Amino acid sequence: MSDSSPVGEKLVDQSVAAAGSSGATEAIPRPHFDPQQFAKQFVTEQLSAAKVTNPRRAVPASEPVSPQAETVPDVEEEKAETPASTGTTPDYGVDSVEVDLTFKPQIHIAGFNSALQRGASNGVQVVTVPLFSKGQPTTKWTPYWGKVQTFGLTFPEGFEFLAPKPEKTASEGSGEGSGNGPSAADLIALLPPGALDAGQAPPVEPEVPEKRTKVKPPKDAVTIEDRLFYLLQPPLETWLKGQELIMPFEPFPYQYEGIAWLFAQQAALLADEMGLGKTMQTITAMRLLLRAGQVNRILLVCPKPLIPNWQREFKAWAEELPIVTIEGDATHRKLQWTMPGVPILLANYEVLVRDFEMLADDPPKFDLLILDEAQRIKNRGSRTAVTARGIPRKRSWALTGTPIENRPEEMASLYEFMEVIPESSCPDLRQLQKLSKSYILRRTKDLVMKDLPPRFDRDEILELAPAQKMAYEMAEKDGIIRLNEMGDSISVQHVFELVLRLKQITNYEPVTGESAKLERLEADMEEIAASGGKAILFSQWTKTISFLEEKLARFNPLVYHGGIPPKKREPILAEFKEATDRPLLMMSYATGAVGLNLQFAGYVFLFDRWWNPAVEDQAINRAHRIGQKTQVIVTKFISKDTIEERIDRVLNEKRQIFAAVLGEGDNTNVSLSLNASEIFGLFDMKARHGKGTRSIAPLPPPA
Amino acid sequence: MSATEKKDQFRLGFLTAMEVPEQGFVGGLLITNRHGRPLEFQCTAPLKPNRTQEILYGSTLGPYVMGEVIARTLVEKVGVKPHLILTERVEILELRNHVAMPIGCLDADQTEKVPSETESGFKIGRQWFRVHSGHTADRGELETQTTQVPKDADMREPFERVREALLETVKSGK
Repeated sequence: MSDSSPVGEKLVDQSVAAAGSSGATEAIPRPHFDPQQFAKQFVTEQLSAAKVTNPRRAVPASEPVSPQAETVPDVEEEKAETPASTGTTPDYGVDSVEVDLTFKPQIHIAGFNSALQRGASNGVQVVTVPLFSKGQPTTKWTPYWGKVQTFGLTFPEGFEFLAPKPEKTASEGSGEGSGNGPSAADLIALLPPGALDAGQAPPVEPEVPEKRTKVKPPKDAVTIEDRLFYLLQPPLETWLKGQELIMPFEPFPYQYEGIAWLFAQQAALLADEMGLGKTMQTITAMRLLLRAGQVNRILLVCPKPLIPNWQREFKAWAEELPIVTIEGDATHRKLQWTMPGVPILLANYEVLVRDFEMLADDPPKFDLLILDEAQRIKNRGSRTAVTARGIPRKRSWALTGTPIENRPEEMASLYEFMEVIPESSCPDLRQLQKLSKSYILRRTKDLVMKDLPPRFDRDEILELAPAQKMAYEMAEKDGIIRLNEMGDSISVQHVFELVLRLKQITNYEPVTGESAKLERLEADMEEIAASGGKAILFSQWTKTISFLEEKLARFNPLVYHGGIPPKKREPILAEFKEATDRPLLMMSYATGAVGLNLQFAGYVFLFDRWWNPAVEDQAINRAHRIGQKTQVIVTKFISKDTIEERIDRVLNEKRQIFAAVLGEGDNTNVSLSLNASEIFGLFDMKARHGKGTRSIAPLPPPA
Repeated sequence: MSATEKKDQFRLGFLTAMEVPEQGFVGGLLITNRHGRPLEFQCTAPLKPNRTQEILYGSTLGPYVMGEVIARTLVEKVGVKPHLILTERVEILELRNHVAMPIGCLDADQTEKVPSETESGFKIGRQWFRVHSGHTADRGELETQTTQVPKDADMREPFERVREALLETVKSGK
């Protein structure tokens, strides 16, 4: 840096000379600036230069000569003699100017030169300026990373399951979750037995990408902890394998999706069409929630006839889960409600209403409350609905294949139970649709069960037998006359009674026992029994079932309706499945239409028509459901020129209208029942009006 | 303690890191049992190197941040300590020089290997892993421990969960 400057060069030379004179020969020459020495040298050089360039110029006497200047003449003389001695420069009479070409100015002419001539006596301070011998960095940087901020989430401890039984093999599984359900020995492990053992040869790696059903955070999961909890769960397929949970058979892809959806929902309405496995999906979701430590205590409420069905399904799908069915006398039930350490309680609606009045002061609390056949609370003001809403709970699930039986407003009651709308609020249709997207999962067989054997519906339009026809016409005529005589006092109840009377006659004539439907049924049953098939028959009346039981005695039919004690019902279903000489099971719509798995039956007879096609569909789907191996033939008996034809026509029209509006997939999700206006419309009702008559009917319900 | 209980206590750590555009580097560590059921999750806030760090670390920035800064922090922070750590990023193998725990890295080349030919290659579940070249003894330890992992387990899948969770946390600004 400083070495390159002329001043520096000079100073270094001086210091070297000084060092040499002092004998410090080994000392590293250190640049040192001495102003006094610098001034002295400067003046000497100036004087010397003046003499050399102009030898005739004499130093004026007045010009001060410093003491140091006296030592200079030797040098001046030596330099002055040089041109004369050589004699090479001729004198032309003009002052010659000699230029020493070797001279190199060592000091730039600057304003301070004269100041320097004043010498140190003028108070110049001597300052020693250290100069660096080599360059050094001016900044310093060391690797530093601030403290890394972290965020953590610890997962809750799960419910400890019993160890699975090891003896199951794939070849032992029945693959059918029907009837009494597979026994423990029938179950198949999803994971090959012993696959976890060390040293076993790994299975062949599948090349195709595996199906993975991920649990998605629900829309109402706001906190990052909640969202991460769901995001970090393994795919259901591997989870079910890994947990060594035993299942009767592997769920279908749509069932995995349903399980994953339920698992993440605080409020849910699983509205899959009948036969798609709502029960299995619910049980498995409960199982996973218990395993994940998300719930510890669950209450499942269902209609009383379905209690055995749930018990059976729990045994099939989650045999390790202990369940307690609320039953017995009041004291016993109270004990059951408050018993600690029971993860799942099973109760029917009647018991629920009765016992929660008893436990009103300190009602038991649940992590999850599930209502099966949740249309039971469609009336918001009913005791059942009020009781269900009053149960302390964290999660609320509802299961039904028919979320709307009559009016869209029924959905409001379900949403209120699910606590997604304010109490007593009345969301409009658009709001209901919006809520449906978040809280309802509904799949139809058409969409998800493309490999389910087809269902063939055939309407058997039958002429009434002569005695039937006579009785029917007489009853209709008398009935209408009587209704007309009632005038404005007529009510839907009066019309309804007439409809029921006429419908009963279309089944059979009570005096003679003549029945066109019976004749046709007998013919069909001959074929079915001969081919080893099984058939289910539904009727609205137990009286009709009793009549048929007597008439069809040669087919050794089984009977299943509300008059059969609950304890005897399960053996009836088992016998129907197992016994080869019992091809026919006759059931009432009210008792047999929901919750039963009868997929081994290939024939369904609707001996008379129910008011709501959704209920008819439920009945048919006892047979047409998962596990069905063959096509299902559904025969609907309709008596020609009777009220049945008119009812069928009205119901079909309603089906078509709603299918056009909402799509085929959701045709049971809407109002299909006959309303009062439509019941009146079955007849040409008139009331006396002065001398004439006028048509009467209740106003149609608002759109 | 029964054999089943011992098995259930076996824990794996799935550690990965990624660079999120305009956010920086984030890392996550998921502790699971042998079936992939989550036990604990730890992740870092985005770590964005400054310009000086970018210049001075150059191409070694990513490996340093992910392998040492983030991974080390996560392993120290996690409460449920894993018995081993698996990663899908080779940069994180560097962590092995800082922790006394076997670490396996998902091998980019998933073709079937003959053990004698590939000293550090070994299989967990359905995937091939390798260990740090300076810690080849880890291979034996990892092979012994991971016999408890189902043979048909997909060991890539937990990393997908971690990445998804990291994006979720970045999105939430946590």
